Amino acid sequence: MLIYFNQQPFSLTPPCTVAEFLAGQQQLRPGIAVAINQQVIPRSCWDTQPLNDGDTIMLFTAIAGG
Amino acid sequence: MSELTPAQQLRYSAQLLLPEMDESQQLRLLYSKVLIIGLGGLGSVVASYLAGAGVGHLLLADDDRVSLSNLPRQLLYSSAGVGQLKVDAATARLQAQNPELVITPLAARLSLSDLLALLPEVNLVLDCTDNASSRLAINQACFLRQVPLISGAASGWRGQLLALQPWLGQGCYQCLYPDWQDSPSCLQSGILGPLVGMVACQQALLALKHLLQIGDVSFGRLYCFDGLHGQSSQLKLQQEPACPICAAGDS
Ligand SMILES: [Zn+2]
Repeated sequence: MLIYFNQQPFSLTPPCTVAEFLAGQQQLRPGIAVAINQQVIPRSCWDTQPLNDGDTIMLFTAIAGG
Repeated sequence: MSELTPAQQLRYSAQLLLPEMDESQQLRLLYSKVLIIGLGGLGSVVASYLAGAGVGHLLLADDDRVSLSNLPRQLLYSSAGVGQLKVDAATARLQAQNPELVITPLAARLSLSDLLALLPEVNLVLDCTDNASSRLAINQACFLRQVPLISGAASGWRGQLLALQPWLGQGCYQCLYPDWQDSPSCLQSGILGPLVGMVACQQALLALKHLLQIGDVSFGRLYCFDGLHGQSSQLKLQQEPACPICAAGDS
């Protein structure tokens, strides 16, 4: 299946959860959030939420500056 | 006072021309009380626009003093004011901009208990702080006191804006970043004035729309902006079922 991660196309073999995908990309670190198709996925759902063909995944980092 | 004075009609004449505005809407702003926490690049711009628009009572909280490196983006301050408390410099400047407002300076870093004591008397909180622990405490206090929160953040080329009414089950700041410890400050990661100004202007616009109850304030949505590439996105927040702040259902 094909997904889009931070606007880049990625080919993945299903099944793959959010947590598995982030671990594979070495992106699992504190202070990040993930949205699939413009919807934020709560952290406790990352282990079970599957990625589906055509999903758009955005990863963003907390910022504190003001 | 139930109608605008002639001087007020003149002062606010441009915004009164908007179809969503009228005298009663302007009076609504004049009777509003807003807490702005943090008077850096975000807070100084936000405070200036809210004072200009006639938000009648501003509470300004910051324990910091003006430094030379603040001046490129913190537009309330001048070179002569370096070393002054930001709340004092800001109060003087805003009071000169709009003498009919009440401005309450709070030269402190507000703790959770300070916030819980202050919030029952305010209509809206604007988080313009520069650190994770203040942001999470403000989020918690706004949840507990059911006061709407509009939170802005800027760092490097990135800006984030989040309007929250977390007691409505739409999620909170802690839901978004549950394991957030801290992030680099503006001095560590760099910042350009207009980037933080853009976030501040959006924050001030949402604040005025919320106070006036007009348009769409997009509560529960995170707006992310990348100023280097000119890209933005809006993401819908979801409540974290395990959130210790807003999901502690039957405790
Ligand atoms: Zn929450």
